[in-house]
Amino acid sequence: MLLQIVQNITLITALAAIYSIFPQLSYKRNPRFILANGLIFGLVAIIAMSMPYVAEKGLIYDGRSIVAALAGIFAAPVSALLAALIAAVFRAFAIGGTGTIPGILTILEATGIGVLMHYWNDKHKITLGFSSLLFFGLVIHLLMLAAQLTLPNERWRTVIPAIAPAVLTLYPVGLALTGTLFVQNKKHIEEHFQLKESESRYRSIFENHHTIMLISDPDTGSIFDANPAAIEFYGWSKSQMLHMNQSDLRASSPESFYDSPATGSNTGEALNVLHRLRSGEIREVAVFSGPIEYAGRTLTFSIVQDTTEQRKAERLVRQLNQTLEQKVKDRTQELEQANKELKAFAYSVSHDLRAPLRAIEGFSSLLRENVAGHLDGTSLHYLDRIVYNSEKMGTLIDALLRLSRVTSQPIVFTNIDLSVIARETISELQQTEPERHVDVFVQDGLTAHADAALIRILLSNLLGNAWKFTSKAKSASIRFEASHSNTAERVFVVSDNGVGFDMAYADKLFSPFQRLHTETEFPGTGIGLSLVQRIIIRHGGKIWAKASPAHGAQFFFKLGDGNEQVNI
Amino acid sequence: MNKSTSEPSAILLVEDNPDDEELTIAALKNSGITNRVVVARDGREALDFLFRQGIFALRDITTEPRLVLLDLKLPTISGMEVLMALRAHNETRFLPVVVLTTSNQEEDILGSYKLGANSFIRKPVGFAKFSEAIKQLGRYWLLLNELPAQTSSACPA
Repeated sequence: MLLQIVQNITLITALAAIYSIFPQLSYKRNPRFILANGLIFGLVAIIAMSMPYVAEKGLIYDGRSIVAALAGIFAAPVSALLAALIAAVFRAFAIGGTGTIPGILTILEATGIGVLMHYWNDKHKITLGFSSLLFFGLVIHLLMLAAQLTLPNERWRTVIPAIAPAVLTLYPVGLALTGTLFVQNKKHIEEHFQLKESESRYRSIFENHHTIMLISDPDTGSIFDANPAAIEFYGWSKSQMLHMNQSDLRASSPESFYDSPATGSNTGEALNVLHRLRSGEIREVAVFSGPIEYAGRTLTFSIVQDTTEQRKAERLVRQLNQTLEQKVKDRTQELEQANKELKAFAYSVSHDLRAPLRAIEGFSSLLRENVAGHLDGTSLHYLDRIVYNSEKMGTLIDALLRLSRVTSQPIVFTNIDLSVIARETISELQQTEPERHVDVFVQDGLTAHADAALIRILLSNLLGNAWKFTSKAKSASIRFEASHSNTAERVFVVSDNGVGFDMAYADKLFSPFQRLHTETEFPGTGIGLSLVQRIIIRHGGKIWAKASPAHGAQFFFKLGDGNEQVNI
Repeated sequence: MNKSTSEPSAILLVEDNPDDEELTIAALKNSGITNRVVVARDGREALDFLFRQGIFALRDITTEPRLVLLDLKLPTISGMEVLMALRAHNETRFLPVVVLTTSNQEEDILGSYKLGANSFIRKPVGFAKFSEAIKQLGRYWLLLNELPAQTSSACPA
């Protein structure tokens, strides 16, 4: 009896051997293999049942429970059920007899528990050990003993004691041993397939990717492998490439920094070199290299990037930048030249234009003195007009010069108090016309970051205008104030209750020599507000006005943040 | 007007524009300034006169200047160069020099003072104003202002 059981277990071990010979049987999960698996397990179960321990005719004991359990645990559930079906049919119809029912029950319970273990194992992803297999073996075979209770005529009373010692020792141990073998086998097979799969994945990347890839010897530089992208790029056939060295790809470069070790560095940094194609064409490439394990050796894996177009574009950009810089330089020079000429022009106007004017005026005055007694009123009037207009022209020339100076003189930002400057300006105006009474309000503490000299010109023009245009008002009033926030957005206002102007002409206000009043009404050069505007622009600020005829004027201005100086 | 005939009393007018020369002389006359006026028409002439060289090597002692009215824009040697030369010379280093010019450019004003000008006056366009300016400067520099004895070229420094 013992011999037959041992024989049975040996048979089962052979099953494990079959599995290790055909590894895909246990690994692949397609219908063909599931079917094959079911048939193999079923067949082994039949073989096991063909050489049993025969208790009596129709009552046999063998390793089918072990086979069914193994099928449940290790094969796909469908395979296990197929194997169980085959074994059960064989047991029922080929053998038959009194033991048929417990025999079939044994097959079913072993398969069922095996399948349960299979799911449990799948879910928890643990490797089945010897002890857990032994435990399940015990459960399965206790149930096998229980199945004997279905034997007719209380045969179990004699059968169970007879088979129990072997069934509860040899069978579970046999299951555990064989199962462990299966587990080990399966593990190896899985590892093997994973390795193969990952290898084929990388091979596929190497073969199919459009990036140029080379594998070469780090010491000699000889090429071990080249992918189709490399073959297409270089134009050599694969067999030609495998007989080449990486240094054969190099084109000697006039730029010495391109020359570096033939196989490149393994630092992961790009090596910029020139490669010569089979056609003789030379391309600029970036070679990225790294070590790779290959057939037990450390080789150099290189990715070659064709950077010819990119470099060409870079050079173009650099060239454009240089051209641009040169252009800026040229323009700056032109501008500087123009400024210099403007300055020279201003100087010339100041000096040379005034000289003849002084002569006209001076000699007219002298003439008037000499001949005053001999001339009629009209002639004297003419002489007066010559003198008056010469002086007027002198004033205009001076105004023009001031305008050019406001534009060209360098601007110096300091913290200044506009209130103080405004009061000083008002008191100067008062001194020119001591008889006038003007109601003046200047808000205290109007500070700003600005050019002191320019702001003085600005306020002297704005307040001077207010003073001038209120000269005919009954009770003249001038105000200088500002919004409260002390920022670049702060708005200053100079307002008066003078003659004002029609807003229809507002766009002409700041143009040089534009006047909205006649010379006899209010004298002036027409330069004041264009000076003011230039000063505001140079500070990065803004100026605008509100007025209506006979209802006074308001001039609003902002000074900017004092950081950006504007050249005009 | 002269305190004594032995003291320098002439006015050296350095002016290249004949109209300006005439107007300045007329203004001096209008202001009642009777001092002798010597005119140099460029910087070269001015220096020759001051240092008694060239055509002025043998000039009259009565032409010794007490005041120089100096235009800046001159042919050959400029007004600034004249100023520099006479301030560098021992005999003329304290000689009052009033820059009288049409320019009021900052660099001209600053440059003149840096080189030792005593005064800077911009010729106004109006003759009346010009006459007034000449009158005031004549009074101040010829009558009011005191000079050290060394200024005289008669006393070698």
